[in-house]
Amino acid sequence: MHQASSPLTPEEAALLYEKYGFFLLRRCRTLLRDAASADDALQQAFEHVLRSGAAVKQASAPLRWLYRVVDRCCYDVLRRRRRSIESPQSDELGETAHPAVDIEARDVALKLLGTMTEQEMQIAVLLFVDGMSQGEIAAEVGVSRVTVNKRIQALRTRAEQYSGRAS
Amino acid sequence: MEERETDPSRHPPAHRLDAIAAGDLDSGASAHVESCEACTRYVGQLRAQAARFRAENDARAFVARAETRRGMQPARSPVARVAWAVAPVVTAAMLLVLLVRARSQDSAPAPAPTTEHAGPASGPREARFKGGLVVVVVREREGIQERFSGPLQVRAGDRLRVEVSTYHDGALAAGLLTDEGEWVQLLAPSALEAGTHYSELAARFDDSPTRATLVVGDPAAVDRARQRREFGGVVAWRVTSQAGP
Repeated sequence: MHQASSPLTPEEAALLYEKYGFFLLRRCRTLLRDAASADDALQQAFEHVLRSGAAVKQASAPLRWLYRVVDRCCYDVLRRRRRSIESPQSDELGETAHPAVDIEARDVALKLLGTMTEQEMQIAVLLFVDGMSQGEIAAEVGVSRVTVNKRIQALRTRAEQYSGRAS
Repeated sequence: MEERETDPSRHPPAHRLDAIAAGDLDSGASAHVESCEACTRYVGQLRAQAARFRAENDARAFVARAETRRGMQPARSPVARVAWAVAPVVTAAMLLVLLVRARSQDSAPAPAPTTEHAGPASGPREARFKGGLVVVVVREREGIQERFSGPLQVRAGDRLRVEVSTYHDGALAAGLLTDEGEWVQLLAPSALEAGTHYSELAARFDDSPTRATLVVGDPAAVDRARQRREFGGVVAWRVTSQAGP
């Protein structure tokens, strides 16, 4: 074995931003619900990409690769923020939600993101933002479907409790 | 949320629809979009919004800001710079050693898609360790990335990187320690802030047999593992050769 690493050139990174920047920023705003934090998270994500993002060039699904990078940056922000349940209003670029996503459920889940563990955040995002099935989530996160189902049920309970308090 | 796997009419996940809106090819998802009014509308709206965004945002200026931010970050560690210079020498020596060894035997995307694997029964089911350190190994094989939270197998052409998430500021190091005692550094000993960090270096595997241990942890503990093969206090996962396809 030997080491192999090559950062992206600024030109390559600019091409990525031009093609995917809207989608990445939209995702950051969806998760963080705050334009300034989202801009910052996206900048941080591209710092990672510039430093060690050459793998994206060979990826068959580069946007998915980039989504995972920005997700981690957003999770970091949420962990540091430890924001209380009351978070700013959604600042998503446009209000276009995935057809399989229940927007109301999604919005409640996003408000609770800052109170979740990283695994819970991952599952919540994949379910309520990406519209993935439990099987797909299990494969993505690396846990069993039973675990995913348990986490989702627990999240739904918390969401209902929150909605009950908020109404 | 209902399961999707066996129903072809179910909507593809957002990352596939978004990728189509961005201009990527995905014949499976595209076929669904063509037959689904909701997804057609979703993709169309995103395409229009993305076009407006491109017209209003300067990609080069954004990247320049990201580069400037990188330049303003404190240097990870002077040791890291030395490691970059040293690594190729270590690498070349290791490659030579591995090439003369006799052959023997034993995920993702993230992009592609990424598949995440928990370790086998003997390994940790969740890659979370005392001290709030989360370790994931990203294996890239033929353009597909898979994430592992435990021991894994590799074959020729694979590349490995390490992703560490830590809740506390602190020093970390990571690398591959072969059974023969060779060290392939992935993350030079560095003072890291709380957050997620990707190894700047990746290990690429040739067709020589691999018998190694991924070691991640405090630099002193990593050094102890390297010198004495004492793996207490570090993440230590076996990395071994996999039979070819």
